[in-house]
Amino acid sequence: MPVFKTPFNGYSVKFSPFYEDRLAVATAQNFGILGNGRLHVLSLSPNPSQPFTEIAAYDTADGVYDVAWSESHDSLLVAAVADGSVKLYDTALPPTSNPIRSLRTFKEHSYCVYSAVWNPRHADVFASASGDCTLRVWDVREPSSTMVFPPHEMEVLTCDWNKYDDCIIATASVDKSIKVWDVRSFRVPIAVMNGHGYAVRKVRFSPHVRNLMVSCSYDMTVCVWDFMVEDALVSRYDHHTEFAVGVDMSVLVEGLMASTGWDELVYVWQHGTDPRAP
Amino acid sequence: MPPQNTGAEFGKLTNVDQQDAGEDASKQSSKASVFVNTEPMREEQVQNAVKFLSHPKVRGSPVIYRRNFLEKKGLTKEEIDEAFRRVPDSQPSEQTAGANQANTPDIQRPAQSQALQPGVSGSAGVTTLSRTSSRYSFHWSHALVAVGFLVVSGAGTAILIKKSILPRLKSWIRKIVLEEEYNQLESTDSKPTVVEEASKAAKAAAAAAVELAKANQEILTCRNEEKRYFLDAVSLLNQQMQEMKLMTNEIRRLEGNLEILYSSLGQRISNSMNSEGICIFLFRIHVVGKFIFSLLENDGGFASSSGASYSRREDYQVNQTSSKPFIVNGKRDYGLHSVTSSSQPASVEPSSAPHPKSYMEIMAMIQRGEKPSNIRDIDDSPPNPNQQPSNPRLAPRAKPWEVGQVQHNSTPVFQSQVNGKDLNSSVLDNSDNAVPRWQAKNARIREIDNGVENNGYNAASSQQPIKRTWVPPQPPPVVMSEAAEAIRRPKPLVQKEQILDDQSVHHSSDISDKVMESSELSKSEGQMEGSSTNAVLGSAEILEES
Repeated sequence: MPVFKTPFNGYSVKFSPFYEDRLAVATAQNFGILGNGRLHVLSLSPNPSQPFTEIAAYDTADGVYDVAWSESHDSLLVAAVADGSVKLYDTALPPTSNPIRSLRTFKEHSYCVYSAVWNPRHADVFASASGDCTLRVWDVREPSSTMVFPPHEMEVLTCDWNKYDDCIIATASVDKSIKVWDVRSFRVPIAVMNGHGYAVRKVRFSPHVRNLMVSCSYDMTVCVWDFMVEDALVSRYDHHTEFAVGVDMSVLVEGLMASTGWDELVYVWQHGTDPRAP
Repeated sequence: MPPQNTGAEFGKLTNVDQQDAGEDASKQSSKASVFVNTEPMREEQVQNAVKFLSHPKVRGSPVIYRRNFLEKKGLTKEEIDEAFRRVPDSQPSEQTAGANQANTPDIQRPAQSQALQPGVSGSAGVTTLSRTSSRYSFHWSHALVAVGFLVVSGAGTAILIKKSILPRLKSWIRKIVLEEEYNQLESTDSKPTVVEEASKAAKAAAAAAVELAKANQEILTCRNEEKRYFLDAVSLLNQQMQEMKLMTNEIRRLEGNLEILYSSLGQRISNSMNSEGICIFLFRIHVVGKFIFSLLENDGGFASSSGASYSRREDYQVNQTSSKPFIVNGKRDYGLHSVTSSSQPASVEPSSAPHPKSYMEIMAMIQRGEKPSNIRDIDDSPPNPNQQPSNPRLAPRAKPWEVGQVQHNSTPVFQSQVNGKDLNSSVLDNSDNAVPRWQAKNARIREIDNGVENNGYNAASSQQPIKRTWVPPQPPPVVMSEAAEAIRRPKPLVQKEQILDDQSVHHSSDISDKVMESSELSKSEGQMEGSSTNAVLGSAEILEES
């Protein structure tokens, strides 16, 4: 299984929706406390001696906490930087022309926003999860958020929309639980999944299986869940030796997952196999 | 709204997505209704929120924290907005606060000057005034009310004193004076008592002197004891110092021995051993020497300090032993027990996750105000803020959840991209999976990996399999056959593949995952020899078999 070592501590990894072999990795120096950041764009190659080639790397003054690929343009990606800015990069342009620009700001949370996710079916709707313990659903056409509710009693670290059912959203929090909600009736969750030993850092729904989702946590494991089943935990991977902070499932290749963590490693593996196997 | 209905509604819409704007409008309106809260406002929650917002302490906090508190309690936006509307002026616009504050003190001061004279009624007037005044100057009026009250109460007490207490005082003084006169009359026969008093005083003085003498004696005894303890301590210290001196002498002696050994061994080694062995051995000796020297330094430093540092030295030596993993015979003589130095606690805070050691170091550095040294100054601002993004080279690919009809879009769009080798060859591993679907995927990709250069094939299949894959009954053998076909015939397969694709669509429902056994694969491969027509036949046979 290919492994890539980043110079800084990893924060987020995303597969490109256009190229099966392409990944973006967001990293921050000094664990993101204070320091520079770097955004890597990597390409998987069949050559076993050099499984990863770095297509591009962009340095930033502050740590990069998250990255997202554009769904409509194959070479655009957006980086969320710790100094509060959102930067747009184009891998097709030469590195000296990057970043292209900084983008719009939505200001309504009263504490840091840990993650923001576009709704896969409604291109104008996105959700944001914040340390002020609320989840907000926004519509870019409206000036302010359209929905807000408190999914957890503690800070909400991540959220993700279900790809098959557009009203289902999952949130996970410092309280070690993952909850799945229907935004139409947000008083009671559809499912609550406990099992992580520490705060859950990231949650992603599978693009291929309706009920499957993957999560990574400060207990250094990556878990796969099926929230419609009574015993929700499907599998658990503990290949990281530090906090696992980023995880993603590939849209183009079913079952392909990537994860990154503070041990400065990026793993790419197929669900069901051992990530550490060569 | 029951979930199934809306799900079906959206499913239909995505299927027919190029259609009329009417559907688009309905889609948008239903979209808005889904992602907006449709619950009616809960009156009880609104009233609780109003009470919360009316609390004076809450008034002082920024609006955003008040909103966040209510959001955390589960109120919807509408309920929060309604509560803010109901509590008068609870949305502060900070600019008007200053103007109001300037006005209200002026109003209140003349009111207070009037209130002073009537006394208590004045304070009531001030409080009513304060209630009617705007809340921006609430703090001001509150302070003024307090001042006014104090002044009034002071005046009231002064008046009271004048009126009631003074006469009482006078009468009391008169009474005392009268008593004194009476006493003076009685004190004529007091002379004999003077003598008695004098004798009493003398006795008291004598007793005091006796006590003083006793105290002095006690002090003397204490001082003697202290002297004794001090002498004991000094003698102990002397002993320790002597022991330390002995130890330093021993160390020096051993160090001398070591140097002799060092030089003699060095000579011998240079004669006999090879260069690598020499380096390792010399390194070891060097490390040993360093350890001894460091010990010496410590001893020199600590010999002069008090006994309290004795334990510290032990710890230091213990740390030294644990950090230098070698064996020196002389070490045992010093009495250095090999204590494992306490490792870093696994979890600094019992309730949160254990952080890596270097993370804690960096946190400590930041808290002390130091900046870690590896930070560079990077200018990451856009070099050209008006830079346009480049033209996209690929059209967006259909997502697995967008279940739709097969659309034969222009394949040339796809031909520039998606080389076969990119298809995650490195990932694919072994078919040790139990799950047939993933096995299928792996196998397909592996086949493609084996030297496919065919963009056209990839174009058609990358479009197709995405839609087919998400329809659960998958035609893997068709895919396999296409892959094998592609290996053998790189070029003129576009038309054939489209035929295959059409066939596969029709037969997709017939094929189950079980077809993906390896035996089947080899069979299909074996059939695909020779010309392309055979290949077509071969795949058709497979389809019919299942």
